[in-house]
Amino acid sequence: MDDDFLRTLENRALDIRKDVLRLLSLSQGGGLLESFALVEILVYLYWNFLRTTPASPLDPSQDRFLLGCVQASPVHYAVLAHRGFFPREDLWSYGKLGAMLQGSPDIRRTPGIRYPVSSHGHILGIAAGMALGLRLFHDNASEPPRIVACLDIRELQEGVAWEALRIAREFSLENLVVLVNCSERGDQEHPSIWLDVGRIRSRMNLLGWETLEGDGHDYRSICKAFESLEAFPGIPRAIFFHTRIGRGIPSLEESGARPDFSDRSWLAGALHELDTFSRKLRKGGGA
Amino acid sequence: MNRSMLFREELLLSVLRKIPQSVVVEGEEPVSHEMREFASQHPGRYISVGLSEQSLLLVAAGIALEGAVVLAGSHTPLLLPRGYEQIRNCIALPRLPVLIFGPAGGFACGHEGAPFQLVEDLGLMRLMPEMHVLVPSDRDICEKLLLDCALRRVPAYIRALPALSVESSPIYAATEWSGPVKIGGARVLREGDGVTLCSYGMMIPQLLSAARVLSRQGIEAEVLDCYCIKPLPEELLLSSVRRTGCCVVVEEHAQSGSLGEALGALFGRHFPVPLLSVNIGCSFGQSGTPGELMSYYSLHSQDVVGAATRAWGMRRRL
Repeated sequence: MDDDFLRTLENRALDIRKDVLRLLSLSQGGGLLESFALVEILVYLYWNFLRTTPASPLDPSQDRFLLGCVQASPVHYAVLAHRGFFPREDLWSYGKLGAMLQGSPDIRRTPGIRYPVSSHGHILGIAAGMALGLRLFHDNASEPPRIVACLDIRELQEGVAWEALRIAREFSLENLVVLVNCSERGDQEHPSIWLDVGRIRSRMNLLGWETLEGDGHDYRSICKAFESLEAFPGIPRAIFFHTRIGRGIPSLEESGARPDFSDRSWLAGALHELDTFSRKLRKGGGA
Repeated sequence: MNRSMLFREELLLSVLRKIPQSVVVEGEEPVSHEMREFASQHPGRYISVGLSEQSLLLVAAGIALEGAVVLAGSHTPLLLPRGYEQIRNCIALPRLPVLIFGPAGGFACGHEGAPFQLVEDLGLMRLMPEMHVLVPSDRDICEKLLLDCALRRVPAYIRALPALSVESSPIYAATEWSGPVKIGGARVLREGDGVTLCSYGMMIPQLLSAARVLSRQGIEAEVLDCYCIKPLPEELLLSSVRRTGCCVVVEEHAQSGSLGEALGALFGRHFPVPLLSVNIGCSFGQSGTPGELMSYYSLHSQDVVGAATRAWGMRRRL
């Protein structure tokens, strides 16, 4: 990944963070902390990994992306808008009555959303089903689409997630890539055993999955993890990305506190903090 | 080997052969030789995910998202309550063509006792927006309904028929039905102007024998097989009670969420008539053969006759 492209991705991420702030301050609520944890991963996916054609979002030859963490849907919406799936103006009516962008993504309303939303861990079962369906219906002429499902590490506390992991391995769903967002909270002194990435990775390895690890805010690390996937063909694979909630606004990153959207001066302050942080990052040449 | 399982598999196989884009997602491996043969010749069209009811439904939704019509089922009647959230959010809400076919609710799993007798299955599914709810009363109707749902690509729950009632059912020979069978339809099995008798599935034979007894008493019953619980065949039901002026609904189902409740609301809106319900009431079941349970919960033809004469006495005079 060359420096120019890296710079483009960084600018894109900054724009997207700002739009997430704007849409959340308009809707007066939503998962800001969770959204900011996923910005770099989603920017990388939509600008450097997934084969998507925003003009025909239901094209069967496209890659599929499923986001399990509903709280982070504002960032997914912002990414889809910037990628051209729908006009950026639609972001400003997020969560409002009659809006295309519902509080939880709606497969029947939003271009680019190809999956139904339910509670924690369900996205894995749906992704496994899509991979099985693709096997049946994809013509062998072109390269088969990939299915990327992203969920929070806390979702792996659900039994239904582990059922899906077992099924995916039993059917050797080689087109399925699971991204596990291991977001740390700044205020958490004693992370629970469910945030013990090593322990969860070894459970998945025992099931027969190949697992990798990367830094979810460093494009070079994300890129390396995706490139390393190629070394493990024929089985489903997962990447555990370490992220920080509220990433980009140091005060939120440290405290892990929910911002007060009703405070009118808050938005200006947050935008300013974002700019300062991103300038500092560039000078320092990375996180 | 369980006859109900074989019976169900034979139907699934028939649909798989007729609808090229159909897939079966099951909790267990195939039981019949024919299905095993089909599964090996058509990889990916019979998928067994093991004993994971919730994931079974999620996988079914995922396959349907890729364009298939999915016939989903498992051998536990508890698929519906256990998978309610998955059916609601991942099948009905996105309106995916997943047909949840059996196993039979009601008393079909009689010997297994109350935990496995789902006497509220139709109510659960009737509550859910976008869901189609069907209860066939013989094999051919069952297949026609499965095909209709598959062609229309709608989410549906089809209460499977236990093999037992097919073998013992007089309706199998008694009604040679040549009319249409479709979502939103019903069958008029006997015409009459004294009382409307309405039911579905296993109870139909009881209705027909009750109608014969009533005829000897001078009451000509109209017998309706209301195999489509949702959406209701409203016009047909209303046109019947407009002639008879009263109705009895007989159901192998709890009172709450029953067809009787749906009919009460329908008639109340358009043409109020006395409506008596013969059903399991507000209780769970218990162990017993389906026949014994029907006697115990007063669902036999003599109970239908009793209710019909009472309804007839209160009928709306026209």
